[in-house]
Formats: sequence, structure tokens, C-alpha cells
Amino acid sequence: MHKLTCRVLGLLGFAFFFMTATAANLPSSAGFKQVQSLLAAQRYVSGNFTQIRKVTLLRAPLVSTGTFRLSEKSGLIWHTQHPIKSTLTLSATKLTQQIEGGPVTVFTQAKQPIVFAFTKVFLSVFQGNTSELLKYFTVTFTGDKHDWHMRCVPVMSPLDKAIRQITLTGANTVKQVIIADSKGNTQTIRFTQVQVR
Amino acid sequence: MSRIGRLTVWLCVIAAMAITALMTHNTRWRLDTNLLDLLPKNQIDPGFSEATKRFTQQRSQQLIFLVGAKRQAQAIAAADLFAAKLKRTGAFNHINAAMSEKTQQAWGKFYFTHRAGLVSESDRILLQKGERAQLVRQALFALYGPMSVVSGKMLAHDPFFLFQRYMMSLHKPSAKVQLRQQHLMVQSKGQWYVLVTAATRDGAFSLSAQNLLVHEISQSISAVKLHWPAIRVLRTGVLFYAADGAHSARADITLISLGSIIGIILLMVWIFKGVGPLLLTLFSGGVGFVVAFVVTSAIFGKLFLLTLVFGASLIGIAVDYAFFYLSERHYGGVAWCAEQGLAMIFSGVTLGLLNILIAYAILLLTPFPALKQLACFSLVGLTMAYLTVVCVFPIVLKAYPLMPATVLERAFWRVAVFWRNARGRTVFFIVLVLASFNLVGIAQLKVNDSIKALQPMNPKLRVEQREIQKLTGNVFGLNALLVRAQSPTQVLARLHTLKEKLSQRFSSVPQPTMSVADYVPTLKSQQHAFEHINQLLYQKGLPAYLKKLGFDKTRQQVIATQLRDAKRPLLTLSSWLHAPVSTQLRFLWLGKIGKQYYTAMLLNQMLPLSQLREMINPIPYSYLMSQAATLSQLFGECRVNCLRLLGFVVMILCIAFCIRYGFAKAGLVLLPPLFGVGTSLGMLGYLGLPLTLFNTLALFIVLGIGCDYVLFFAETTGKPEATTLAVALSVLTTLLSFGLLVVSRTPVVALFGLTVAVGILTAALLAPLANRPHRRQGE
Repeated sequence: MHKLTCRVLGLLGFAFFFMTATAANLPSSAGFKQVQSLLAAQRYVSGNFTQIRKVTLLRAPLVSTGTFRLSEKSGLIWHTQHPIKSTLTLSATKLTQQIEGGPVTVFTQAKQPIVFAFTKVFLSVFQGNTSELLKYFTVTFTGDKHDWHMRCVPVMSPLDKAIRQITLTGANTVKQVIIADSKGNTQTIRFTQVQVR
Repeated sequence: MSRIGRLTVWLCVIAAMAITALMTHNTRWRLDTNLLDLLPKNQIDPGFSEATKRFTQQRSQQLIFLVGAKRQAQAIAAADLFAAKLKRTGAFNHINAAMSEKTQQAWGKFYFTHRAGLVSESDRILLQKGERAQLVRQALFALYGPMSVVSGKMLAHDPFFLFQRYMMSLHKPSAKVQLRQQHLMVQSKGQWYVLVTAATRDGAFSLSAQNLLVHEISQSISAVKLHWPAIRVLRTGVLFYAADGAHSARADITLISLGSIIGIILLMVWIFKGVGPLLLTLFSGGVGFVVAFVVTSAIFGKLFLLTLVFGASLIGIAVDYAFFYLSERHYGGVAWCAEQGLAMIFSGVTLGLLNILIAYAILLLTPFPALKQLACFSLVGLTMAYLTVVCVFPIVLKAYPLMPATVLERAFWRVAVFWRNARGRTVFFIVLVLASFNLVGIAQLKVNDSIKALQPMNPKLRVEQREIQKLTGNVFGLNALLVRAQSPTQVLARLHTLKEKLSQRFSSVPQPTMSVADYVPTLKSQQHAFEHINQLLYQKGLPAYLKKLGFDKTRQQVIATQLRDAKRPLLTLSSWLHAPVSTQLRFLWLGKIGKQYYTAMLLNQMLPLSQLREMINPIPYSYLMSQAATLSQLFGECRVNCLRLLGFVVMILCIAFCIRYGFAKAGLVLLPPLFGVGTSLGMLGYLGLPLTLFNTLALFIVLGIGCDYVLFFAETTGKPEATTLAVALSVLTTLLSFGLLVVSRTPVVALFGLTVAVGILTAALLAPLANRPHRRQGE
């Protein structure tokens, strides 16, 4: 019944994995701080992704592949190549989607405010606003800068109703993110050939 | 008539009034602050008039607060405490600070239950066009996209994401408000704000209830600040404006009443060296005011603030008759006799009263309820004051020895002597100079009928309102469209038509309207959508699609059967109106008035009013409700009418004076009141102050009192010193009361005071002119 919130939360969860590490400052280990500053310096990230969605009641996982680009200037661009060619762009107040070369659908905050329910959080994440982020998640860090895990558990509602936890794994870049929802579904995104500028 | 006869008449009148008061005292009198009631009744369609009233009332019950703090948790705790304190007052229908999970679930469940025909606008178009492939593509995009959270159960109910997209497309009254920690919150400039909305139990407030509520709210805010001193609480709502307006009006009434009373007391004790005359004067004024109040309340049911403010100033005129009589006695010495004294002044006061009665009787003929009430109040009040002087005073007034003249008497006497002795050429010259001075001023006079100038809103409240609107992203202004039809279904259909028309016409405005139509599609369109979904998506190729998603064979069948055979309820207007989802928007629905159903549609404040008017006026079932514009227009019309009436009154006075005094003397008698009016207008022009409805009404007072003065001078057969003293007393008390109005917080009241003060002073200084030819002839 909460699909509306769920979707928005999904958005947050996704956006989160790129930027949290740059932001979360709760864990005080030296490794965390190194990772934090490492990721904070990454202004432009691009690469390939594989997304694996495991959905209860479905026999097989839903797998999609494609490329992504994330920059401070133009936000996130998500090109899915397979199984459906599509592009999704996301910035603070604008979201666009284009499916198989069809017309571009634009959502703006003024016209569809609900779509942007978490834009503000997203933005603070984007800007590396650490104090902001810690209002939403408890972050546990293990490992060092060559191999690390970060577990983020939402602390506030309605986030905690939809997302159980988000796990990030990485080295000098994020390698994998797993978003587990409260209903037993998981969304795993693996990144390969990641380039940083 | 004998003294006793007159007293009997007076007593009978008072007794009748007392009975009236007793009979009507059960229907508690109310102060009417609703400006719409000032509208002439036939100006708008009675149905829309009632709908406007109902909507204004329902909207005036809505209060909005933002409770802000640096830390989110603190803002939440403060908002919860604030809401609890408000709840304790028992004055609210509902208070929403938190939105519990239960409520959230209830909301989701409500729409989910009625989802059968609910689709977003873009999906509706795709369905109509039969674009199955695109709908499937959209579903796959959602399924494989990074941003959607997908669960198996959800897919089974809504495999094409239609309901999810519908929910995303739902309007929000306040675009920037987000749900956080079960509270509606906004974050801005390092502050977290919790939105607290409340609806008061009662729409129509008595003045005291209104004040009490505002006081209780302030106390609740203070209680919260006691816990957390750094908390900010912003508030807005019609209630606060109304209370503020009433408060400042009441302060004005107190000021003017106290001012006149203290002024009268000091003057009288000084001049007459005793409290007897003072008590008599207050008695005549008091009887006038009380009886006017009783009669006007009995006739009109409720009193306008305007009437009360104006009525308070009436004391100033009502005591003139007493002054005249008392002055007559003052100069009569020990040989004075009450009956003879009355005879000396009788024609003066009677004509004075008649002249004011004529002026107000004309106001009574206007279609404006406020002016009628005002005229009624003045007519009754002045008549009673007059009757008291004529009927009661002769019984109680006794002669007393002459006293040495005070500074005041000597000063005013000097003015009177000046006019008496001045040569014709000097008088002519002064009149000419004054006339040209006035004309130059009048030439610069500007007019302002804007309601904002007439009833300025407290700037502090306005700043708060703007800040709240900015923070929450609420774009809807005070203007609204009222829509009606024979049945709720038809109302809804018309709402949808209008909504579409407006969004096409004003496509650059993000959210031009907000109404019930944003949440409830017509049954017809739901039915269509439902049929399209069934035909296009559920009957054809559903198992294949479900298989593609990854459901196993048995599940495919179960889901397909479920989707195809479902008999789900459509979303009806009445189910929406009765569900918790509509709590905060229910005030838009106005229900049945007469034989029709009415609802309101909020309008984005960016919409240009003139273009809206152009669009809406030809549509018979809708009415553009724009209070500010309507009232400004109304005040303009009212002012023009009043000015015309003023001209009319002057003409009648000219004729009447000519008949009584002959052409030559009538000119002199008319000069002082006319110059009073002229100088008031001229002064406004020089000071760059506007002419409004209020100071137009003030001109009536100037003319009325000015005429009183000249009539006293022209009609008196007693000593001119007595008349001079009466006028001196009158002008000083009037200046004291109206002069005090100049400091009023409401600019328009200050303007009123200034107009009266300047006019009266001029009229008083010129008034002895009326005595001039008479004296010359006597020489």
C-alpha cells in the first residue's frame, strides 16, 4: 500500500550509495575517514552497472545492465541497455525518463511534488552534507580503504518502513550496493569499469 | 406641550426601548466583522452569495502553524506539545501535527481499495489511444529501473504500475512539505519546521470568543517556548486577521469614547463650575447611544464594526443640544427660566436635528447595508439625545448667577466679534482666499478605494503568512472559484471541465487550481479507465506478460483471474468526503444551498485576475470570488454614491435655507459648513492623503455639525455669547474625540479623524458669519 513512499525511498536508497560514504562521519575509524575523503573527492564518476532485483513470488531475478554517469553539474544519468533501452536523469528538481527512444517525460517539483518527496535529502546527500545524512541512517563501517563495507540502517520513519538496510562494498570506488527492503526483496547493483575524475 | 407632557412622552419612548431590549436580549447581539455583509444583497446571485459566505466561514476555520527548531527532534517535540496544548482548549474540530502510521496506512488503503478506475492523466491518454505497447514498456522501465522498489505482492495487484503512477501524480496542497518521522515537515535555512494544521469548531465567532481563542493559542505558544526558548512558531489564518482588526477597532472605540468623555468632563466642570451640567450632558449623550444601540441591534440583528466606531463618534454630536441649552442658562443669570430658555434655543436645536435627520435619511435609502445601519444608528441616537434635552432638561435645570467668563469663552467670543465687526470687503477677501486655497488642495486630491487601504492588515501577520506560504510551497491565494450544479456528480463534472480549461489557458502556471477534482475523477472517466484497462491489459496477453515478469504458471492464473473478475468499488465523491483522506480539504465542499450543490476551487495566486474574470464571467455555473477586488469595487461605488448624496444633501439644504432665510443670508449660513467640507478635502489634497469611503462619511459629519453651528447662530433669539459658548464647547469636545482618532493604528480611521477635525474647526471658526446680516439688520 505504500508503493508511493516505497518508490521514493528507492530513489533515496539508490542515490544514497554513491554519496553516503562521502558524508557519513559517525564511524570514527581511520579507514572510514580515508574512504570518506576519497569518495568526497570524486566529482565525476562513470562506469557500467548490473542490477539484480530479487522479488518474492518471482521465480527468477530481474537483471538489467547498462552504464551510468554521476556529476555534480548534471546529476545522475542512468542508461539501461538491457532488457529495455531507457534513460533516466535525475537532478534536484527535475526527473526525466525516456524509453526506447520515445518521447522524454519530464517531472518537475512544481508539478509533481510527490515524486520529489526526498529530493531534499537526496540533495544533502549529494552535497555531502554529513550532519543532514546522519538524521536518516546509522552507519557501521568495517575494513580499510582497500576493502570496506558500510551498513546503513534507516533511523527514521517513513524510511525505516520501506528499507531494512543498505550495504555498500568498495575499495577506492564503490563496487556493490545492496538495498534490502522490509518485505524480503533485494536490489543488488554491481559496478564495473568505474572511472573517476 | 407642557413640561409634564413632554416628560411623559420621553418616558414612554424609553419604556418602549427597554421592552425592545428585553425582548431581543435573548438573541445575543453579535459584532459583524465579515466585510462581505457590507455588500448590497442584490449585487450577486443569492446562491453564490450564500456559498461565498459558507466558504469564507469554512476557510476561516482553518489555521496553519509552522513550529520551527534547529534540530528535527526538537521541532517535532515542540509541535506535539503545541498540538496537545491546543487540543486542551477544546475549541478545535481537528488538530493535525503528527500523521500516525495508522493514518498513513488508512490513506493508502483508501485509494488502494478504490483503485479500479484510478489512473494518472498520462496513462489515461495512453489507455484511450490503446497504446498497450507503451504501457508495457513503462512497466518494464519501472521494473528494471534503479529507483523503484518492487515487491511480488504489489506486482500481483498492479502489474502495470498504474496505481503507483496515479499515487505519484496526486496533487499536494503544499508542494514543499514532506512526511518525516510521522510529521509533515519542511527544512529551510538550517531550521526544521513541523506543519500543524487545525480547524476551529466554530466558524462564526463572537468577538469575545475570537479573542479568547487567539489568547489561548498565544498561551499555547508561550507554553512551548517555556520548554524550548529558541522555538519559532509561525501562524496564519483568517482568525488572526479578524481578531487583530477587531482589537484595533475596539482600541479606537475605547480611545474615542474615553477621549470625548474626559474632554467633556474637564470642559464642563471648568466652564459651568459644577457636575450637574456634566451629568446632564453625559445623560443625553448616553441615552442616545444606548437607545441607538438597542434599536439598531433589534432591526439588523448584528452590528458592523463600522457602525460602532461611527456610533461612538456620535456622542460628539449628540451632546451639542445639551451644550446649547446649558450655555443659554449660563448667560441667563438668576432671572433665567427653563421654559423661556428652551423657547430661545428650540428652533435652533430642532432645525439642527432636522437637518441631520435629512442627511441620514438619505443615507438610509442607499442599498448598502452598512450605510443603512449607520444611518439608522445616527437617526435614533440623535433623536433620543434631542428628546432628552427638550423633554428632561426643563424639569431639572434651575437658574444660577452669572459667572466671570473663562479664557475659552473670551477667545471664542473674540472670533465671533471679529466676524460681527469685520467689513464686508474683509469677509469677502477671506472667503476668496480660503476658497482658492481649498480648490488648489482639492485639485490634488486622489481617490483610493482599495480594501487594503480601508482595512489594512497587520503587517506582522502578513509577513508571517508570506513566510508560511514560501516555506510550505502553498501557491493558492485568497481568490477562489465557486462552482454549482443540480447534483454532486454534475458539480464534479463541471469542476473537471473548469480545471482542464484553466490549465490549458494558463499552461505556464505549474498548478493553476486545486479542488476536489484533483482527487476524485468523475465516475464516468473511472468507468472508462476501468474498461480500457480490462480490455487492453487484462484480457489480452496477460499470462504472457506475467510469465515474462517471472511468475510461475499457477500464480499467473490466479493473478489473471483476480485482476479480470475483480468487482471493485469506484471512488465516489461521497466516499472521499467521508474518508480521513479528505480531512484537510473538506472545507472546499460547500454542500447543498437551495436546490443546488456548491464547491470551491482554489486558484493559484499567479493567475491574472482580469483574464480569469474574462474567462469565468460568461460561465453561468461558476462565480469568481475575489474578496479584495469585489470589496474595493464596492467601496468605490459606495464612495461615489456617498459623494452624490452629499451633493444632494447640500442642494436640499440650499433650498431649505433659502426658504427660511432668503437668498442673501442663506449664502452666509451655508458658507461655514461648506467651507468645513471644502477645507477637509483641500487638506487631504495638500497632505497627499486619499479620499476614501471613510472620509467621505466623515464629510457627512462635518456638514451635519457645521449646519448645527450655523443654525444655532442663525436661529438663536437669546444672547450670541451663549451660542458662541455652545459652539466652543461642541467644537472642543469634537476635536478631542476625533482629534484622538488621528493617532489610530488603522490609517483609515486616522484619516477619518483628521477629516472631521479639520472640517469642524473650520466650520466653527466661520460659524458666527451666520449671525452677521441678522445683527446688521438689527442695528
